[in-house]
Amino acid sequence: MGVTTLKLARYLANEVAYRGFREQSLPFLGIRGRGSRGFSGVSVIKSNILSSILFSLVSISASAVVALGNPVAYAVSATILAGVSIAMALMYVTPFTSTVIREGIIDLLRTLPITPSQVLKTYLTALMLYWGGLSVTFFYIPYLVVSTYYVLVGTLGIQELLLALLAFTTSLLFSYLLGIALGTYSYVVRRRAVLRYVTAIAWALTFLIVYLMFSITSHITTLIKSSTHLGMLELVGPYIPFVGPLFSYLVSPQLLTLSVIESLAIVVATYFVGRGRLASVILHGAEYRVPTKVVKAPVTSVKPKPYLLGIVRKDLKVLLREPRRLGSMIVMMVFPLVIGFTMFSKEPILSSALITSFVGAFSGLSVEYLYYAEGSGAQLLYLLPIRKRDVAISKSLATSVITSPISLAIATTFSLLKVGNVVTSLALGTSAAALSLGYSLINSALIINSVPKEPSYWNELTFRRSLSSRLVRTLVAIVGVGASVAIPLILMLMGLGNEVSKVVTAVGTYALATLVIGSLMIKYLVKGNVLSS
Amino acid sequence: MSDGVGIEYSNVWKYFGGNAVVKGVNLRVRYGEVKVLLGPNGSGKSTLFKMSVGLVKPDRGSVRVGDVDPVTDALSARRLVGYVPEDPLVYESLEITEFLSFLMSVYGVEVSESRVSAVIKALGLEEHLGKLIGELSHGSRKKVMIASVMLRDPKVLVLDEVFSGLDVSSARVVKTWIREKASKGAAVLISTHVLPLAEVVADGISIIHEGRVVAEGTPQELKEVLGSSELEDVYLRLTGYSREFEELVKALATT
Repeated sequence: MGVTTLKLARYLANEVAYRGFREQSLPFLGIRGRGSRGFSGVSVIKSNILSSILFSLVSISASAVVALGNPVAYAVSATILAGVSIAMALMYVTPFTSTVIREGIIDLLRTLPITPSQVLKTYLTALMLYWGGLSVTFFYIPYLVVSTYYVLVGTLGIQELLLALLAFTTSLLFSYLLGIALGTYSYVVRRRAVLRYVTAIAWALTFLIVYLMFSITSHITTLIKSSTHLGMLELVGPYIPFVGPLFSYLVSPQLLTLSVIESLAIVVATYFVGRGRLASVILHGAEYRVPTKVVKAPVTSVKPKPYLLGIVRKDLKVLLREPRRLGSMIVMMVFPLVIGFTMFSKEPILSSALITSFVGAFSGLSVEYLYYAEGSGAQLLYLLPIRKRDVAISKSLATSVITSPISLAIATTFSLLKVGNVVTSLALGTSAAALSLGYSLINSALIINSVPKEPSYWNELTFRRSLSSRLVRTLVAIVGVGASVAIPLILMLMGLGNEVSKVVTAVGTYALATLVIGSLMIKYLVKGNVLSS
Repeated sequence: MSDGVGIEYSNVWKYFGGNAVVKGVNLRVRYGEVKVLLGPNGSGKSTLFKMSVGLVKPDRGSVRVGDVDPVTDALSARRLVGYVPEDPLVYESLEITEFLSFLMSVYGVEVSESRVSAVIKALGLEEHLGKLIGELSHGSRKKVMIASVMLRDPKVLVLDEVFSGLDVSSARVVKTWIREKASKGAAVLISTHVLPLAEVVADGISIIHEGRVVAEGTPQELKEVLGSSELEDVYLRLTGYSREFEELVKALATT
């Protein structure tokens, strides 16, 4: 690799990081410098060090299973590692590729006197070295080192090690190539509603997989150490791409061959798609990014709405075209189910109350994603005759349009399954919807006071600059979570754990109080008339 | 303002980081008048323009648009003024019609279908309907901003570098629109680096250099006072241009 490629790769990654800095798609876990405007560029060490350490810890934690010499446990732990690494690699590669193409950075490279293969090398070097893509390999390296040790001492068979190596290599190749292909399609995704929603759900699933995998990896040992039988895994394990061979070799050589062929076929197919998309973009430039048919909108569609409704409508349209942030919002709504599912399992009504409060509070707090979705468009808000308070209200209302019905549905369904009473479930569902609106008003009132007074991009970093605002918002989140747990806990301690009407009343009162507090905060706490004041 | 003044800057000073970027500017645009503000990059034009919608507050002096003080009542100023910033500020993920609908909602303006059609057609935006604004070129984005002001039809226009990035036909359309607006009583303040356009469109020209207005008058008056037949020469003489620059670049061109 020539010095020129390295230098160019660094410029490329820096440019992507700077553009991403405005959109908050910096290298995942990359150390954010404190330059004059909060951005100080990328480097190999900065972009890789934190993530490498974290991924190594996960890998080491998973490798505790290797000492057992249990092939089933080994296959399961490798599956979890492969799953989390695929999700993580996608989180690195897709936004990088998408920014390179969407922002036209690829065209800048194409204007230089370098060959297409040098452009490709530059892109890959920037992605792997300066963006931190290579750090994903640290999910595997410590695990493989530990595995090698146990092969040498005779605890683990050499076959398992080789199959794990194959599984990890194919997983990595697949995830990088898929990330590249998906990144090149980002423009198409933005244009097509169905693809946007699919992408949002995919992002939500990716985040959830990462959250879940991180939390369960350390428990693998206790979960499966006693089992040496595949059980249900015999049916599905061999067919799981990439890690299938680790299961199938325990079943039969024929199945092993089939699993290996399946994994390699997927990698080869992804290679052709990813390589084809990337080569086309490099050869033809960013123009290649829009292979969609544009349907002309009729001019009659310029239809002004009443003032606030017009702003809410715009907020919703902008958010719904940001799959990543929409995905994050979905995670905020589903996450409470994951963490609260097992709590108060012996008191169904308290369990329902907890989930109701959690879902309502978390979904309301997700109002921040509407602020982040503003991006460069936020600068326009500073020029328009819009009151600061109305911005805060519109964000809350737009959030509630999405979160309140979903909160209502989740809380009602959960309660119905737990308690079995329609009226009680609907009452709790309504409380969840009200809580969602209440918390969105509270959080919005806090966020709007921390917006910069100069016309600015709004993204995650914009609102992290004010320490006091962050602290207050963190406190609100803690209070939200605390109150959600405290209400059922207090009721249980008071011996009212089975008093359905009292529990419903308590949650309803909590929701109403949140709504009142949120409304008062919007009315009295929002300082200044316009955003620049 | 009962005196027929649409925009007025009175002894306006502005400091950024201790440096004065606007130094005692006095500027007045009457209803029915097109005033062009000429000046090099960084001379303070955009800062003055932002003051008209209360985006930047003067440290000394006062600004008025119509009967409104943008410092104390930015909302009214923004409703009154049709402001097009130098760099188009748009929502890249919205389509043109969605963006215009949003702006018309905010301004509370009802627009007829024929008016929308006319503006879209005149600015050559028809072919872009249905695209996301993020897919448009800089010039087309600027046209979208101009279209939003054309649809609103405000009485005071503040147009920063309004011709930059526009193709020839769109520049002609905008020029015609500006003249027509003034003839129907609007106060128009624009900045541009395209001097022939400035000369054609302006009733009055103010030249600003390093934060100060260094000359003011009709294009003809300016040429006469400085004894030049070209507005470009007048401009260059007043803004510190040196023939030495030309010699420097001549020396650079070796082939």
